[in-house]
Amino acid sequence: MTGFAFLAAWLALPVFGFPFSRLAAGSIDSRAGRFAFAFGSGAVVLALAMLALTAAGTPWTPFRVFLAAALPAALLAVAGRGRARAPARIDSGAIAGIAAAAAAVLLLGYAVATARATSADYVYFWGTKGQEFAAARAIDAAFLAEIDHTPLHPDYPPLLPAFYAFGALAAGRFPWGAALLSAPVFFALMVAAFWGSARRKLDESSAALRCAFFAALLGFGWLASDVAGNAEPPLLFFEALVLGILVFGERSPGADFAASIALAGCVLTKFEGVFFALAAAGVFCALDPARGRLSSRMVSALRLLSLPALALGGWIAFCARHGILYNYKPGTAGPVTLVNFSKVAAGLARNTSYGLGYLPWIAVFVAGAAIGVRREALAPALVAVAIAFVNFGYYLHGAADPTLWIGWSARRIFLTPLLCLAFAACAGANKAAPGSS
Amino acid sequence: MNRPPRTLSRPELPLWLAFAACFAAMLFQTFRFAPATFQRSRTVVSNGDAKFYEPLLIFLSEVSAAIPPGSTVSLVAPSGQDPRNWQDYILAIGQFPRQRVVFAGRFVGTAPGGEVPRFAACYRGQFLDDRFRRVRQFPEGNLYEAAR
Repeated sequence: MTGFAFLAAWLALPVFGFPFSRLAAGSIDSRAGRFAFAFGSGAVVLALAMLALTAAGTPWTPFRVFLAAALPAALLAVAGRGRARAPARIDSGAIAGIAAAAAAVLLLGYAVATARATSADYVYFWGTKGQEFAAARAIDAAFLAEIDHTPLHPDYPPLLPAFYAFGALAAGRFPWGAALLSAPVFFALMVAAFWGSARRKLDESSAALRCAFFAALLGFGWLASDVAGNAEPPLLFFEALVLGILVFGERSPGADFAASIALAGCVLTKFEGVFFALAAAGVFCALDPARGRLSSRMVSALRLLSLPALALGGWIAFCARHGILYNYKPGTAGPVTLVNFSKVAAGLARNTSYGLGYLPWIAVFVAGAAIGVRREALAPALVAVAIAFVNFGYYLHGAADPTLWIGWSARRIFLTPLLCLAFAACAGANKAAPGSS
Repeated sequence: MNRPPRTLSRPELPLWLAFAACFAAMLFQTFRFAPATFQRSRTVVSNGDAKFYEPLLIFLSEVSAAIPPGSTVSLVAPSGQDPRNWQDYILAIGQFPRQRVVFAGRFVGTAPGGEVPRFAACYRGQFLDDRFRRVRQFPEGNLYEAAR
């Protein structure tokens, strides 16, 4: 029963995020994709609401958190007018691809539910923080500030622990097994987001087939990296929302704000989300000719980065106030040195093979070659390269042997470049222009 | 009128093959550590890469149920081993939701002046310390209570 109550609480998230999904209606053309966007927006609102309640000294209760998180949605729903265009019905040509994607989602769900892909970090700190925050009815700054709790990474962003704590508040305790199911939930939402954005630019069967490939590719990556319970599932989900809008979506201020909400999700989920937000906003605004002149590209970049900057600023201010700021302080990771260059290169070469001869990278290049490289592929491919460089450079900080660290994390953090390359491979547009026969 | 048979377009066949390869890899990864089952696993790590933690998680859950809520507890290493195991310590914090966990390195070994918890749980071995007496034995370890 506890597990059901815990999972049922997550159904409130689309309620918190529903009015925001209107912003993405021009970029996501399916009910499942818009539901995914509403869920993601709801998760961002929930994390910020729980942070705000903590900062205000108001202890969390399920009712108070619900009220605080539902307030922005209620205000927007009152202020907003009109209905978003209804998505097109699914064509029969898409059935095979959708069924294949669903099979990948189900297989991942089975693997996670039977404890085959659990991240050790889940039992080290992600689950622990969620449990502790729910018990304290706040983001427990005193707990995080204890000197012996430094290995729990006190300033890692709060979205996932808040998400766990919200379920635990509703359920009365933290169910470790049920909370693990956040991974298949985010995976299904990520695949739905891809499908919803891809079918805007592609014909039905192409979008569905590329969605199936996307699901199996990332599904393998998730399983081979043991990400369940860790923060990669929400991070990759938010990144997929961003890329879906930027690669396949319309160019409009509303779409930029929709992407900005998802970018805020990235920075509130993992430290690495900051690099993704900067790379995605920078590269897409610099390269996309549809964004017009330099000044409008700058405005577009500002729109994209506005919400993540505000969200991250709020979190950093909270950490600074409570003396738990570590990772966001410049120089914390130590100076960059080339002394470990060969160890980093060797470690990355070993771990990014994903134990199966670099299969995901080969598969993504085969898919890209089959679809045909198009201009649309350039931006997501460059974001992949940028993140890969950042990851490589991050391991070069400090003189200590990074081999264990790389073995611990490289597979997971290279899922972001893999995700970007998957979008690059699938980016080619093939929908006939309106009016053409 | 018969519809013409649908043929795979140029990108479709390689994409289906890429899907099949990745899906097969998913299956391989899923059943790599354990056969197919629909039974509930013993712990959240029981069938994956972190399976080595299964006995420790079971031990900690047994200890957590055996000691009173609100008490202090520490996961200590068997005597003779380094007491400063940070990974096991942070793992224990999450497994004692109703108790407060004390880091063993604060009161064992070279730093004996720190807070002494009421209970010490020793995984796979004996904890020989004059300040504690053994109160319970589990298949995976022993539970000690501080002498009053």
